[in-house]
Amino acid sequence: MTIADGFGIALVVVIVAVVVAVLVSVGGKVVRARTSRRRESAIESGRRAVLLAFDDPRALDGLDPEIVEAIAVRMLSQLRGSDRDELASRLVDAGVVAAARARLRDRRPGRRIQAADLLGLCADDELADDLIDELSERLDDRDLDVRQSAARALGRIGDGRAVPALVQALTTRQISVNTAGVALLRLGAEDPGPLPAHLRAPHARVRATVAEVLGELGEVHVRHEIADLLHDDPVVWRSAVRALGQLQVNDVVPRLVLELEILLGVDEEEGRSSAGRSRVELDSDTILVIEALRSIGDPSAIPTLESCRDRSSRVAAAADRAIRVLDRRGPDRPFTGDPQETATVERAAGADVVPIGAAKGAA
Amino acid sequence: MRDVVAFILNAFNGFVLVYFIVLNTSYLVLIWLAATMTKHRVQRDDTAALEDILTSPLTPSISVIIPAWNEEAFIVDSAQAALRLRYPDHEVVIVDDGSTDSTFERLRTAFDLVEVAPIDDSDVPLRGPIQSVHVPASGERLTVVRKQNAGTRADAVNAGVNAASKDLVCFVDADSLLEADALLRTVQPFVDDPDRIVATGGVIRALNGCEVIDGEVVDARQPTTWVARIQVIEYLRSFLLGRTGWSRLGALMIISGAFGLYRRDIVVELGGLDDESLGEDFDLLMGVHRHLMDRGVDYRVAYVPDPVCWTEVPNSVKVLRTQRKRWSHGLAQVLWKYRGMMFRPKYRRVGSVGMPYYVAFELLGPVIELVGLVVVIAGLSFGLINVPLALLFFSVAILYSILVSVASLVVEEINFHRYERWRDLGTGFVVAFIENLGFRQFHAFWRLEGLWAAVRRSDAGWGEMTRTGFQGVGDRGADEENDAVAKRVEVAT
Repeated sequence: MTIADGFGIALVVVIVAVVVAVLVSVGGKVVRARTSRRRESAIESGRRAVLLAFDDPRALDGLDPEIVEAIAVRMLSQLRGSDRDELASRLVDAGVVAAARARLRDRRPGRRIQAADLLGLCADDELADDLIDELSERLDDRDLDVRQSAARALGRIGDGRAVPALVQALTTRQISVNTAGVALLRLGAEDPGPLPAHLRAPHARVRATVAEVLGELGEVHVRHEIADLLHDDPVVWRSAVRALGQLQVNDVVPRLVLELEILLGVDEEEGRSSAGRSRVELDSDTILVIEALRSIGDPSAIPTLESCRDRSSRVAAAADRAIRVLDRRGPDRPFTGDPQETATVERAAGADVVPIGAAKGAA
Repeated sequence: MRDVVAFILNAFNGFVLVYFIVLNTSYLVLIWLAATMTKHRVQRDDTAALEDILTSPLTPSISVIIPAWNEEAFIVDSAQAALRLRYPDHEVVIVDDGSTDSTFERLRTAFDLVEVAPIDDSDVPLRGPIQSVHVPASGERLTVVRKQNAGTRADAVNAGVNAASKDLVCFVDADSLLEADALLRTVQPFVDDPDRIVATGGVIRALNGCEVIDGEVVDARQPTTWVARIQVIEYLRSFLLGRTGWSRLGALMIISGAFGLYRRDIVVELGGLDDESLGEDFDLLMGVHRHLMDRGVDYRVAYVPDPVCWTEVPNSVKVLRTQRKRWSHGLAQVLWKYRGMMFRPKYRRVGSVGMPYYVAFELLGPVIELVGLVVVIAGLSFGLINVPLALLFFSVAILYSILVSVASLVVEEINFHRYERWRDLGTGFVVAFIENLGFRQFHAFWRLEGLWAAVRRSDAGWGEMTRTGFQGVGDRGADEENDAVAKRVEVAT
C-alpha cells in the first residue's frame, strides 16, 4: 500500500465519521423533539391526574408511574402542611409509593433517585419502619446521586433510627457533608436524641457536622460537649465556634474569649498559640470567634473585642460591629441551664430565616 | 540537492500530519470524556439536591465580584441579575475600575447608593488606589468600590477580593449573565467535598443573538454574524467539552475569568491575581496548583458543565483579533512563569500532562500550522511536492478538524440541547466547515502575533469592545451598536 492509498483510506474514514456524526446530531434532535412532545403531554395529563387524586385516587390509574413520580416529587416539594399530607396519603392509596419502593432497586440510577426522593416526601410513621432499612441500604448504592437521594429521604422521614446509617455513610464519604448535614438537621428537628453521642465520633468530619447541626437545632444542653471540641483539629474547631455562636448561651463566652485571646496572641493554653499561622488564616478564625460572640450578645466580651481594633481592618471592622451590638444589648443575664429558659434565649440572628430550622416546629 | 530539499519537505509534512492527528485525536478524547461525564449529570433531575443547598445552613457564603470598566450599557442589569441569583447567602461587589462613562452614575441612580468608610488596609495589594466605597441605602447586599484604573482587570478583581466578606469569591464579567441556579450548581462540589475543593468553574456560552428578558436568557439562538457563530462552536469545543475533559483527567489548568469560584482565603494567600499577567485567570489557577502542591495539600479543582454564564463575544474581526492576540500573549506569559512545574512529579498531572500539552498544542500550534502551510505552498510552487498527495493530506487534516467540531455539536445536541431550532443546528454544521477553511488560518496568525508579542515582551492592551446592553446583544453591526449606546445615554440624561 502506498502513502497515497493510506491517505485515501484515511480520507474515506474521516468523511464517513463526519457524515455519521451529522446523522447522529440530526437523529438526536428528531428523537428529542418527538419524546419531549410526548413527555410534555404526559406530564400535563399527569399533573391534572395528581390534582384530581385529591378527590379520587383512581384518577392515577393507568398513568406511567415514572411520570406520576416525577410530578409527585415536584408537587410534594412545594406543598406544605395538610395539603402535602393529603397528597402523600392519596399517592400511598394509589399504589404510587409501593411502586416507588420496588423501583428503589431498578437497574437505572435515575429511577432509583426519583423513587428515593418520592419515598422521603411521602413516608408516614406506618411506612417508616420498612423504609429506613430500604433507604439505608441505598446509602451503599454504587451511584453517588442515589446515595445522596437516599440520605435526603432518610432525613425527611425524620426517624432517629437512621442516624447510625447516615453517620456511617458520612464517615466513609459515601455521601457529602452537606447532604449528611441537611439530613441530620431535618432528622434532628424531629428527634435530636441520638445526635450528641456523635460529638465524640472518631472521624473529624462527623464531629464537625454534628456540632454544626446541634448548633443549628439550638440544643443548648450539649454546649459544653461542643465547647470541648475547641481543642479539636481546625475543621472541627471552626464548626464548634459556629455552633456555640448559634446556641447563644452566655456561659460559653469565657471559652470563646479565651480562644480569641489565643488567636490575638495575648494568651496561650496547653501549648496552643497563634504562632506560626498565616495572617489570613488567623484573621478568618478571629472573625469567626468575633461573630460568635456577637451572636451570643454577652457584653463581658467587650474588653477582649476592644483589643481586636488594632488588628487588620477586616478584624477591626468585625470587632467594631460586635461591640456596637453588645453595647446596645446591655448586661445579659447568664443562662442557668433551666430547659424552660432555652425557649427564651434570644435569637439575635432571628432575621436569618433558615427553612430547615423552621421545620422543627412544623408539621 | 533538489532531492534532499524534497526529502526534508516531505519529512516535515509527515511531522505536521502526525501533529494534526495527535492534536485532533486529543480533542476527540477530551470530548468523549466530557460527553460520558455530562450525560447523566445533565439528564438527571437535580431539583432536590439544589433545594438542599439552598436551604442548608452549612452552604458556604459567596461574594460575587464584578469588575467593571466603562460598562454603562450592562452594569445595572448585571448587578440586578447577580443580586437575583438563587443562593442562600451571597453578596455582590462591583468594582468600578476608573470608568470614564456613566457606569457609576447608573449604579448610583439605580440603587440609591450612599458612601461608606472605605477599607483602610488590604488583604491583597492594589496598584490603583481605592477612591470610595458605596452601598445601597435600602440595605441590599451590594457594595460598589470605586478605584483608580491601573490598566489591568486583575487589579479591579483584587479590589473586589479585598471588599468581599464571604467564604468564597465568584468572579463574573460585567457583560456576562449567570443563570438563576448557576451559583447553586457551581458551589455543589464545595458542599460535596468541602475539605478538598478549592476552585470550580462553570461553562461560558456566547450571549450574542440570544433573547434576554429581565436579565435572563429565555431563548438561546445562534448569533447572526459569522464571527460570533464561529465562537459559539469554539466555546462549545474548548470551554465546555475541553475543560470538562481536563477536569475529568485531574489536570484542569484554566477556569475562565468570566465565571470562576474560588476559596477566598486561597486567593488572598496567593496575593490575589497577578496584575502584570494578561492571562490572569489562567495565572490564578496555575498559582493555586503550584501553591497547594508545593505544600503537599490534598485538594481538588472541578469544572461543572451545567451552570452557564452567558457572555458577549466579539462581533467584529478586529476586536476578535485583539482578544486572541491577548489570549495567546497571556498563555505564553503564564506558561513561561510556571515553566518550573513542567515534568516534575510533584506537580502531578498538571505538570506531567497539562502543561506539556498546552506548550505543544496551544502555544506552538499556530507556529506549526502556519509554517506547515507555508512549506506546502512553497513545495508546490517549486514542484517539490506531489500535488495529489498534498491535496489528500490537506483534505484529511481539515476534515479531521471538521469532525472534531461536528463531534462537539453531537454532544451539545444529545446532552445539553440548548439551541432548540433546526436552523441553529444547521448553522452549526456550516460553521464547522467554515471555521476550518479560512478562519482557522487567520486565527493561527493572530495567535502567532500574540506569541511574538510575548517573545518581545511588548505591551498588550485590553482593547475596547462596544457594548450594547443585554437586550441588544449580537444582532447589530458596530455602527448600530454605537447608535444604541448613544441613545441609551441620551435617554438616561
